[in-house]
Amino acid sequence: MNNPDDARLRELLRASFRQPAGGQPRDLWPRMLRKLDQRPIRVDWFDCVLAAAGGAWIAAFPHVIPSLLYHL
Amino acid sequence: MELLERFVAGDLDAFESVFRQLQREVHGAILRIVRDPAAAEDLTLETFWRIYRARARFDPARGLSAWAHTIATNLAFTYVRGAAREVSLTVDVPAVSPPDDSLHGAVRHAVAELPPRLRQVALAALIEERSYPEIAQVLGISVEAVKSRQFRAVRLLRKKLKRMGVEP
Repeated sequence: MNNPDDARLRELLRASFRQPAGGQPRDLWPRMLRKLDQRPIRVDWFDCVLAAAGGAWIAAFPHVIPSLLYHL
Repeated sequence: MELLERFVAGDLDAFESVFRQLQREVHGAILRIVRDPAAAEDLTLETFWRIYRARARFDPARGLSAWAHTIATNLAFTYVRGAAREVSLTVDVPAVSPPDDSLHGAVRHAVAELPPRLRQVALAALIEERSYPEIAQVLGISVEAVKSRQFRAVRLLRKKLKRMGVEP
């Protein structure tokens, strides 16, 4: 990066990525805390397998549905 | 226990300290790329959210600042590429001699389109003026590899800028 063309490119890059005026951030920690609290609901793979097995069992033996509902 | 070790262990107070230490630096790095204060704030929060989620993979022996910087700039360039796609649907991009503001926009877009490994080096060496040994240490590569990536980044950047009608 020593020739004049490279110097021009370097200058252009610096000018393009110069910090805009008035760019001081506010205190973002309160928003960060809210973001941390909004954790996505995670479903364990074991729960998925269990639900799928239950669904398959009911699909294979639909006649058990009334007795299942009776016991719920 | 050191601050970074407590942070890795999930201590929220330690995370707050880390957040407050790095917030300005991360926000500044993002703002230089996206040029939109509101978007920069959102991306700053996203950066720290990712840092917090991935804290178990962080090695306290290495600098947190460099890690945060990498995540932040990658997010910012992804945002710029997305914004450029949206703009290109509605605005005709001038082919030759764009005015000053769109010239800088074209340069930022060209940098955003570089492959991440080349972009990282271009950003650190050409824009932030970090030394080769410093970049090599942060990225965990040799000084020769840094020079090679910079050379490839410049060549690719020139090609992209030429296609946009900009010849620096």
